[in-house]
Amino acid sequence: MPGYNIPDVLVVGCGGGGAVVAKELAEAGLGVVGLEAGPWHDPQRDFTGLEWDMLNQLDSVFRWGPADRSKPPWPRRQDGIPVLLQTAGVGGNTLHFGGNCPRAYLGAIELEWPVSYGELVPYYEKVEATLPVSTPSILPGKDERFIKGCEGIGLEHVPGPDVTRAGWRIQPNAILAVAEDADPLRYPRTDGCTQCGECIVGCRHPENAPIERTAKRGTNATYAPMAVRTGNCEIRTGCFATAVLTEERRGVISARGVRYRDAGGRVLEQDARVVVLAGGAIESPRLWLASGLPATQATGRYLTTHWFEYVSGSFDDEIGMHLGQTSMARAEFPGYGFIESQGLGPLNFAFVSFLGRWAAGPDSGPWATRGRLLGTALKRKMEAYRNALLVVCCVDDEALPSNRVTLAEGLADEHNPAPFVRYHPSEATVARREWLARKAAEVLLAAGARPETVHRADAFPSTVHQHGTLRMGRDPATSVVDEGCEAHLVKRLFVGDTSAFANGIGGPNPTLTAQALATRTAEKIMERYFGATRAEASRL
Amino acid sequence: MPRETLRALVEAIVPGPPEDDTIGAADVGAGQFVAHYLDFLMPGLGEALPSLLDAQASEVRPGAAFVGLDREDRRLVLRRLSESEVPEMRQLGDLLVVLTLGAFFGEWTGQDEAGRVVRRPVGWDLTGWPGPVPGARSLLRRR
Repeated sequence: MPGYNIPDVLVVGCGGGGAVVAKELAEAGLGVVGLEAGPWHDPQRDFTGLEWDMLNQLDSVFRWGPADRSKPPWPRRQDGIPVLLQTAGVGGNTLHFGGNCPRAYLGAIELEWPVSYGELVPYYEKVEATLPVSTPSILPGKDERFIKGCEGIGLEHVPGPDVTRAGWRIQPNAILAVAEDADPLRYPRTDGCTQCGECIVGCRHPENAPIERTAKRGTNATYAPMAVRTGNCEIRTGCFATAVLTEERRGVISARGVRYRDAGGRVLEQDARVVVLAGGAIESPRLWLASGLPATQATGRYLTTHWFEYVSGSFDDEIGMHLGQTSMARAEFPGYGFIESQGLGPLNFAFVSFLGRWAAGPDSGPWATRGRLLGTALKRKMEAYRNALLVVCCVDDEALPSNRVTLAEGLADEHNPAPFVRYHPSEATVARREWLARKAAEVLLAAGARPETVHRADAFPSTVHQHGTLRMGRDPATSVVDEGCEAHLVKRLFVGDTSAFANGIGGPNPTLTAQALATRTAEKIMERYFGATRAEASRL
Repeated sequence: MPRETLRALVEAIVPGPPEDDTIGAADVGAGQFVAHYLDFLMPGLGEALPSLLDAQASEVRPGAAFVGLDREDRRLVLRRLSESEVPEMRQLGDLLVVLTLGAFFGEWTGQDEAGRVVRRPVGWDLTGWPGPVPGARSLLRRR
């Protein structure tokens, strides 16, 4: 049990990727310590289903900030990207994701990853079996209407899981199978998803469920408890890593541990044989830079975000977007990205749909209005909430070296200088996104939306998805980690989150790919530092 | 005057009578929510906001205070803030709108001092959202 000797592996961040690395290594018999900046929430006690309380950027349960919500959030500096959705807590962004778990687009992996798609497949399968991932059996109105629109524009049903061509399909979701009807809906009688619509404000259903039977399979409910149950993993919450510690022997720099602040503000050091960075694509490069680790020209760069766009429309009949899992249908467009139907509560619907750029003037798109709406125009839209359908677009944005994370000057929290995140899309990205937004509007119209209600948000860039800032590659000049996700310039230092992505995987939701990659990275750690052969490591 | 300025701000974002027939953000005291969060982020910012808005108002109509602008011009002030060259002004411009919407369409208007939702929040009524539910029984597997 870690604590008596130095642990084999220290994982920084127990979110979507870190918890996976921790579980895989702990199951293999290694001693693992996970450091997590936030708490490990009890969904039954801590989640309220209230939109402002759970998700606002200032003092919410899921904010990026101290667990004591009376303290201000941790600051970030931004250029071109006003909203950074980061979350402190075991589960990380899987606490508030919609559970969507598609695989990467094959073409995007083959284009520039140092790993082939075929090599990722067994890891995808392992994660899909572990969470598990499945397609829901009963669709609510919003997703049925979206599918009707997809068919209306001539899109074929292409079931997946591998994506090589355009088509619509039901979402592969990391959400337990839809439960049987009952009154009341309470565990253990009710086991599975109750279609309550709260996925993105934190899943706490079915009522009375133990955390591992929470319907939505964030790592807080899956990989993290699995890791701890092995008896080989300790997760220390309220612990914020402030530096990666290294040693140098014969010119080779190696990681030897981490310095961190614990919940009481004490500064501690934890040695380990191997260190894994998994704080997300903003925090991992921030920690790298704050530690003064040797940097390549790729360090902190090539941030991709999928620059979300939101197109909505109203129907003559009620859609009821608040019912059902947040998103249960999608349409893929390799080369451009994807679109999906989404249901949100009214506040989040307002935020994503009507807070974009102020309108520049009329344009020729298939939408009636676009941009920020305030005043009576906003009120009319919100009064139509029950008849509205929202389509979210995620673009395959180009990875540019100028889109990057550095350290802010003159801005810091109690741990380190704040991260400074810059993001400005390329012209190619803008063009692909235009194409997707048009497709979304066409789907809404084909589904029967009233043309005068179709509205394009013109959303600013944001991180909901974030990847690429410590990217994989064979060439140390243009990458940070090698094809095993070990740092080129720092031995025994691995990246276990989306920072390691070589690109934005073609646009789809990144969680499943992050988890498959993390599963593989755990194997690489075993092979390289703990004497396991490839065959042995893959049997674990 | 400061309270009137906050009312004028939130009224321009989510209007009520007489501009609009149904209840608006000023009617629910959303200005308090805005000022509270501004002070939470930076002590004194909530108090400083009315003067800041008055200064911006003068740029739109020389000599005018923010409360003296019509609602279109108040929204223009918000637009100018959000499109400012100065990053902190842009953030503030966006934040004022986010906070007003948060007050009106979130759960605040239904909460007591302890944060319990004790009555239907105004925004939930306006939009027809039932609020958090244990599930949607019509979408579950038949027994």
